[in-house]
Amino acid sequence: MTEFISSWGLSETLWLCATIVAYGLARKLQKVFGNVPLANPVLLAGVPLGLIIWLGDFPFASYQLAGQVLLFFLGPVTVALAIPFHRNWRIVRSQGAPFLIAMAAGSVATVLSGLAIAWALGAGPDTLASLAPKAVTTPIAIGIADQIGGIASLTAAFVIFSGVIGAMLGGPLLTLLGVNDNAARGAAYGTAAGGIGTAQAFQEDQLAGTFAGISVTVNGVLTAILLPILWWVFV
Amino acid sequence: MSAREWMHCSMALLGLTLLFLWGTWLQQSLALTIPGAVLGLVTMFGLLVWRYRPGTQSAAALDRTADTLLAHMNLFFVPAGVGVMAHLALVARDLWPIIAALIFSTLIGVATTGLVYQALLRRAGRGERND
Repeated sequence: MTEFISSWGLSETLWLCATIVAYGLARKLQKVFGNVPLANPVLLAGVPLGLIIWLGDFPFASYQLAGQVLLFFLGPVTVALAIPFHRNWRIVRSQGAPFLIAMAAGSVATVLSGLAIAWALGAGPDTLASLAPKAVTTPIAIGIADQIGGIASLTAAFVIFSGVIGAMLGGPLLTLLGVNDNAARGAAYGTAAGGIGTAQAFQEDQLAGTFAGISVTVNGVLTAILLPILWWVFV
Repeated sequence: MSAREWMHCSMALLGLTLLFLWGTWLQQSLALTIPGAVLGLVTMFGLLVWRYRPGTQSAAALDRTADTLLAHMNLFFVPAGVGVMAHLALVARDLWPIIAALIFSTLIGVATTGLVYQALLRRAGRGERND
């Protein structure tokens, strides 16, 4: 903590402000396009910031330090999920069985198809181990990657990339497939696209967001318990 | 937003942050694999079941704070999104298998969950009508 404060300076403050402004502009732009999921705020804000850092040759460590403040607040935001859970608890309880079955099916499908595709295209064993836990929330995914011989920072990047893809393309895909129930859409977002999928679900609908948040939590805990065991049995 | 409402919302944010810190402490002292934020969430849920009184000023402030944070959840992922660009450059060797695997497995997961869920809901709906 003291180390964090002593290395905090003007450039970190500016990066933090730049990130918030970039997000605000990205959200405005998304609204201009009628709130389409394709105009994902993480992508619209992240790419320009990344380009500025890269083209301007700014030290990435300075940006990362600024980013840690926002990443810290993902903690309280996760705690805040309890409020819509509590508000929608009766609906959640009445759909316990279909929810758990669909979430488990989606979770297994994500892990197996990801491994199969990467393996068929010739990815190495450490890449495969980093890829396996990518659908769950970052802190859990990193822990699993460590246990099964993956590279934690790589897994963290895979989680975010999958989240952005799922948030951008998942909604249109669900609509195309005729999935219009908000609970089903939310569970799909949360199971395959984690936290960023949940953010997208909350932008669409309260109930969808609630189910996405529950999927992230339950899927994360179950994957943390089961994936390392299955990995040792089969690999 | 009045000064009083502002105060209540700030207290709500402080409370959420304290519960996150409590969860993190719990995780570290018991060496659990469940993240601290999830333990904080479970604690918060317990508190809501125990003491949530709809209609009070603090309940309204808590609702408002949580809804605002969740509506803007993407903001907190932007730094992680910037980090991805730096990382994907590191895996140049396996870049295309990785990108293909990430895109298709995510979409397969979305489609599977959504279709299975909706099929089960429809079946349950039919069952109810038959009863």
